[in-house]
Amino acid sequence: MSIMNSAEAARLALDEAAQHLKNVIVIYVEPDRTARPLSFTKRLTLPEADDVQLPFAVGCARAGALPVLDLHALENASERFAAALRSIGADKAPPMVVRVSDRHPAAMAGARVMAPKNPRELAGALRYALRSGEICVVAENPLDAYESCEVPDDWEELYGDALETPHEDFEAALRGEDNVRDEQTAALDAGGAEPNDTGALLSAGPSLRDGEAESRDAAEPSSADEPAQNGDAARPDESAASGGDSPADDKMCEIPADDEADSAQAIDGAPIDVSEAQSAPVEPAEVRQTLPDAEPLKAPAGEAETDIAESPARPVVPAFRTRRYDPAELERTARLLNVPRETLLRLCCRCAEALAEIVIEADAESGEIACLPPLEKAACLWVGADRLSICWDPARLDGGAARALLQDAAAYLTLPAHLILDKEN
Amino acid sequence: MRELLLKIRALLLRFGAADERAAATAVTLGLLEEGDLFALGEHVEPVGETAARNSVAATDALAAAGAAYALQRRGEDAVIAAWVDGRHLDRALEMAAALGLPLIMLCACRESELDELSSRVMAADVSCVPADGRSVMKLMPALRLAVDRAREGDGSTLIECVVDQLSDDEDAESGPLERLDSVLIVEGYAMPEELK
Repeated sequence: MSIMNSAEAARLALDEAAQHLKNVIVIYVEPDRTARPLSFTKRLTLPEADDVQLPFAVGCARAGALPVLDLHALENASERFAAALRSIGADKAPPMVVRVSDRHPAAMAGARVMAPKNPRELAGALRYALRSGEICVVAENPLDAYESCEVPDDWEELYGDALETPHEDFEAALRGEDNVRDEQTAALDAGGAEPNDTGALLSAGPSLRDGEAESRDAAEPSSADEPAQNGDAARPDESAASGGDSPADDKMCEIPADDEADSAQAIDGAPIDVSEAQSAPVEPAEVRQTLPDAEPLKAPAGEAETDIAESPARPVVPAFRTRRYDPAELERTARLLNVPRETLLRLCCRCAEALAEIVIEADAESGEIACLPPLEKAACLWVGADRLSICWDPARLDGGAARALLQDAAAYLTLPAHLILDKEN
Repeated sequence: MRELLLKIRALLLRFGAADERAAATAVTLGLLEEGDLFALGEHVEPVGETAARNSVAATDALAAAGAAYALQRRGEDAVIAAWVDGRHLDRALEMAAALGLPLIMLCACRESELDELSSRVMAADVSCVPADGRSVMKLMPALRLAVDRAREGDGSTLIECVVDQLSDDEDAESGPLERLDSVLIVEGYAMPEELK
């Protein structure tokens, strides 16, 4: 992380692009019609002339280069570029990046218009635009030119750090190794470690989707609702921070007032309180009832299969997990990338598509935070307003794999723009 | 030389000898090497792909200049050829001269337009070579010169391909294919039966 203003952030992004992509050509347009074209090491300077820059940039792109048109020096650059793009035909124009100075950019047919509000977003927008394969217009507000903020130095990071939690700890917790949990608690008490998923052992089963409730209620007792309530009470919060250095990121870790206070888990070092999870465990039989197709609960793959119900001291293998994410970050990125929020959510969860059914639920007021997986899928990934939950069938999906799915989706939701650059997309 | 002329003849047949651009295109493709590019229409593609086409279209001169600049930035010893029309020609010539682009511009024109076009090109400080657009043997030295200049970094060249009659020493009624066949037969590169 470095503190820099807009010009420095843009230079950082372009230097990175020149280093990594090798085919970037920066074309700077001078506000002088009589100037001669000049080629420098890092950029080409062209004179200002109507309908000149875009055909030249199009030619560069057709030959395999990625032109970055810098039109800051031109007046009404957005409108002029939009007119030139219309004359050429947006569908015929190859990918390129255009930088303009515009406080209120208008939409352009065939181009993605992004309006970063600070140097951090500017670097992120340029990094995305340089790798998107689209015509991207980055409209920078001239009034924000000298604002400074922290900008990630890593070429791969667009908005901040994803929370990385070690996978081994989760597996150890599944095996009931309390010493691992104690170590993590001590680390969090020290204020330096990151929260981890082991503190999120659940003692509740999943809640039921309304559509399936009728069909399943006939086969299951009404006590299926109780596990959900207990789970809400006992489930500690898992926070997926999007950049621990920014003060704004800490807000994502705060527990809403309507959530259970006992399950609070802050990223700033508050100890994980798993007492509720341990004090109100749900009998494995109840979990079995909510998963009618599931075989008796098994330990994760590779572990010795023991009858969990016969050893109450061992933690229940969870079939349900949840994580928090920052909806404000998601919203901001959706606006910046000019994509619908729902589209962004679906893209973020594509990592789990093969194994899990993805349910995007905008309204989480009903308290429903997860649902059972359908018969053809091993898990159900529930995307709520501010939380991500996965409910999986332990017989068909390993707990570690489910946890990895949840973590991957949560990581993407805190770095939504990063997923857009995924090669699979 | 024989192989080159036969290759040009095959390209001439593919493009259609009746097309006024066919002869210049065939000669250009025959002289360019693997790794060179040809800009036509909205595409910039290797010469091998262009040789597989049946026709070529003119492209924006500025786009051709942009493609040449991208090629130059790569640092490769490659050149790019393009048929250009009047779109942005002056600006493209200015950039080609200022940046020393490895660009060979082919421009079809009439004999009456030669002087004006030549003055525009030379005003931009770009090399300009007129040639009979219907004669393979007259296009070859002009294009060979242009290709060598571009490859050695000496700048761009515009070949003025005159599509109506330029010289009187050949049969005005014969097309480029007939003229080439007569050269192949006279020089002994091919038998008349092989060319039918």
